[in-house]
Amino acid sequence: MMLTGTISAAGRDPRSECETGVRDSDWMGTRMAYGYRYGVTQLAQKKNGFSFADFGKEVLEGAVTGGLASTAFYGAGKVFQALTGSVRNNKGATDSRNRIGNLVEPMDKTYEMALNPELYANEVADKYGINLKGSGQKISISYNPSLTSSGKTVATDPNIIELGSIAFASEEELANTIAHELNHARSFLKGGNAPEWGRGGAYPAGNALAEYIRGER
Amino acid sequence: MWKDANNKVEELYVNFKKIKKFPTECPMCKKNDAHLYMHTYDEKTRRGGLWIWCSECHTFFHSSIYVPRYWKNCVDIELENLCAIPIYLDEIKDKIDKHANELI
Repeated sequence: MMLTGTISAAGRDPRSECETGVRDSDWMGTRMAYGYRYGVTQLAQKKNGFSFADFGKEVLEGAVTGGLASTAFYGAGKVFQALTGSVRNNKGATDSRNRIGNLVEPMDKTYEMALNPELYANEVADKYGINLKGSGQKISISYNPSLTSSGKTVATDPNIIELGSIAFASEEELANTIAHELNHARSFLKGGNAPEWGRGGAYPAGNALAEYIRGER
Repeated sequence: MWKDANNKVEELYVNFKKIKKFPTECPMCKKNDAHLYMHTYDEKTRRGGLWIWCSECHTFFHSSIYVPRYWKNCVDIELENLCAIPIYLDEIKDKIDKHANELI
């Protein structure tokens, strides 16, 4: 993996950097680095102040983001984990490279998550680095208990992804549904017809994540 | 222009077993030009999509579902043309209705 666009960290205070989180493929990925945190504003994510460790992570993620188109969808968080896993392990074979056959263990579902499906859904999105934005706009997850299907996104209100009870059957199903509906939402926000299949379609998007979770890619 | 703001058309899926024939009455405009189609993407998991639409008033509903086991995919469907907005499905609605009527 070639790191492109790396910059020197010396003498640079990220607190003065521009707010960039408009484009999904933001080079620096400062927003994407943290993923979505439910109920927390973007500014609050940096409330702990400057630390070189975090800044170093951002530089690394920015370099990774610049070179990998998939992070525009999934966010740099997951990619960063894979990359740092590769860097730390000098044996030439890392956990990230040996993902095939290894399931991603589901997260521990807290009591709060059990009571709040939207919280749980957002935590799952965060875990897999799913970037809940499209065309510079925030996309929210809404739990609809009366929905007879797994998920739904409407063209007339593409900033909201609806999830039904069926979507919460498992973490894999939930992640798959979020990825699928997010694909639709982004297409609608661009004025598209939300393709189900083919290049850039919703089903391949959700299915790719499901395969990753199952250790099939 | 296709509209999906109203979920009323979803009633056709909820009351699917009561439908005798397609096209059927649209819950929105009451014209007899409503259609329904499901397509299974994964035969093992039965994961797929659901479309309900009216060719008259252009109201539609699309969602991800687990397709019932008795349902078969229409062989005339070209996957790459399937979108949430049922423009393509409406173009072949006669084939879709014929297919659905063989299954219900």
